[in-house]
Amino acid sequence: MIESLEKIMAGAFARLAEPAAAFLPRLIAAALILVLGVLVAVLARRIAAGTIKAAGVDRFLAQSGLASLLGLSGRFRTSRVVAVAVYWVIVGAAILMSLSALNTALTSRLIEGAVVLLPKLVTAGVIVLAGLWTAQYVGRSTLVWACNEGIPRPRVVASAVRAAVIVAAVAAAADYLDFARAVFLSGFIILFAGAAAGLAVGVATLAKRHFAPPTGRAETTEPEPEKSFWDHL
Amino acid sequence: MQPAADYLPEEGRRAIRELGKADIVVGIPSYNNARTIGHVVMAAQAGLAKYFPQFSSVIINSDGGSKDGTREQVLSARVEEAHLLLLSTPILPVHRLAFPYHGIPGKGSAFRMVFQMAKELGAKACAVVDSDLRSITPEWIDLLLRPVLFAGYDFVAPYYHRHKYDGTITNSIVYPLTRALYGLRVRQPIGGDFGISARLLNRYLARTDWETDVARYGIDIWMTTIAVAEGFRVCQSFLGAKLHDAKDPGADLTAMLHQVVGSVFALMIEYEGVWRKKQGSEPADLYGFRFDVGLDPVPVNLGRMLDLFRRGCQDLREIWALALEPATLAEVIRLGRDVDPRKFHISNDLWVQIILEFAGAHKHKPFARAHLLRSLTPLYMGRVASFVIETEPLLSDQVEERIERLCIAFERHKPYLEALWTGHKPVRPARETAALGAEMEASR
Repeated sequence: MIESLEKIMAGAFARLAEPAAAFLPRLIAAALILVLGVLVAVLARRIAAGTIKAAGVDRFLAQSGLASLLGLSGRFRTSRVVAVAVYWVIVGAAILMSLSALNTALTSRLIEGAVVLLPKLVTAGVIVLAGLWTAQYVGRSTLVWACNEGIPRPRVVASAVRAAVIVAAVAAAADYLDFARAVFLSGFIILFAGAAAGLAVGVATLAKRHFAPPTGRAETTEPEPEKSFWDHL
Repeated sequence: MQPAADYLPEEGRRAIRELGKADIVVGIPSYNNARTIGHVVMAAQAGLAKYFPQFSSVIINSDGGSKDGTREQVLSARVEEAHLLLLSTPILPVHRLAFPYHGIPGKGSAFRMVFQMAKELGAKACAVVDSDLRSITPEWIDLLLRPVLFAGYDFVAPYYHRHKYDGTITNSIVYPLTRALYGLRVRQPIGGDFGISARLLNRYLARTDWETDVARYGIDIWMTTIAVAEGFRVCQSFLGAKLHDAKDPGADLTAMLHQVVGSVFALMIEYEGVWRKKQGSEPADLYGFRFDVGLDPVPVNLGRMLDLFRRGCQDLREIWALALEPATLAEVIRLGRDVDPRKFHISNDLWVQIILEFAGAHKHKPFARAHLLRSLTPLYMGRVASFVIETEPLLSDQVEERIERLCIAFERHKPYLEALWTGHKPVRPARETAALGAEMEASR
């Protein structure tokens, strides 16, 4: 009885050990690749940050005013962003290589998918980044314009414009990736229809105020024309 | 850049072929000025007939597409010669032409066409006058052209009496800054009425920056700065009072401010080598008989100006921080917290630092230029409000003295500007003493 049990267990171990023994070197290789990749990524991150800092790119962007357009807080650092990007590109490549070292059907499918998707993801990322930059620029233009024109709550108006541009950029990126296309398209249409309706109501209100014929007694007297704000210039 | 020959309209080229040559060209830019342009054309025509009868002359109206019959007014304006005391005979005819100009809509593009016509006609002198003037007389044409034709000057700037609240861009920014930079006291650098020699005209036409703010309101300061900075002979002519139509209420005057100031800043970059060598300032020659005149009062809306300043302090801080030093920004924000029309005051020193720091930022932060220039409007409104409060009880001579003090403050801050320009840490010059503040209090 005990002999039979030992045989069964030995057989089971042997059946498990055979693929495990075959898979273990690949697993170790994958782990090694991953660890090595992370080490290289950390090193590359430091080198990238140091090189960009030494080249004075951060100082140029801060002095030229470009940094204030790239970062919402105005404290954008190219060295930091590029270093992080380099780190994650290397770590991502290391993950793919380590998965490839495992050489299983599942990992092969994952790698194939990643290779196909990566250029699309990068393009979509560029679209979103360009959208963020445009949103910051247009938002700031709106803020200055609204403040100079005496529009109530200029910050709110500028934030709304900024948000609309970002939504448009995200919708464009999602459309490019074929991701939730209908959802984003619907959101986009609703947003712009709402903006157009709001604009129309605003224009109609202004037009009514300026062009409506006098109706009541109070309106029959000619109002004194307001002096131009700018006459003194 | 459009080649100069292509810039003229076909009818302009035809007119050049027909006229062949002209000694004097008077240019009048216009856009919907039917109400006043007839008077301006008649004054120019009478001035040419009376003071320059021996010269062949052309009056050119360069129009920006008016829809109120401006061009028709130009062509139909007539001066009855019997009404003029003309002693010289024979009198050469004064031709009148009216064309729409091509290119970017604006005063600068209108001038460009006039200058091109003047060059093609071989003019010895050219004068330009605004089309909204109500106080122009035939003598203006004499005063603008005679120094060029008979005294060898290249550029004649106007010198007028204006109401203390008229020309505030000139008084608060353009005159003091230009004077401090280039060392010549041209009192009305953006007056709009100038006399120009053929030599200077050719220099203007050879430039490649016509299709910038120069095409719009930047043209006046551009012309004056080039003349002064490049060493052309410059003088001023006293023209009396400047009375003109109120600005078009539909016009975007923020655009006017940023086009003028943007042009000043852009020219500072170009002429850095010139202004960094200059120290102090000297008066420009002044021609014409000076006399006192009555002036139309200019209404100002103090409440709205202060409100715009306060709103700017609330909302534009992040943009101002791109240009202003932390101490300057803190001072501005502090003023914005308590905007009391009885006490509100932006000192000369603070105003000079604001303008110079914006000039420095314009050089060092090219990607933020558009926002910075537009964000200057609330600060400018604050300064104008402060000036109105300060000078409300003062007479024109006393106001002129206040402007002189501002000019001296600009000149005193020149090392501060140089530090900002070269990227060194700027050191504020000694403040205007408290005595000035006390004096201001006493004047209220």
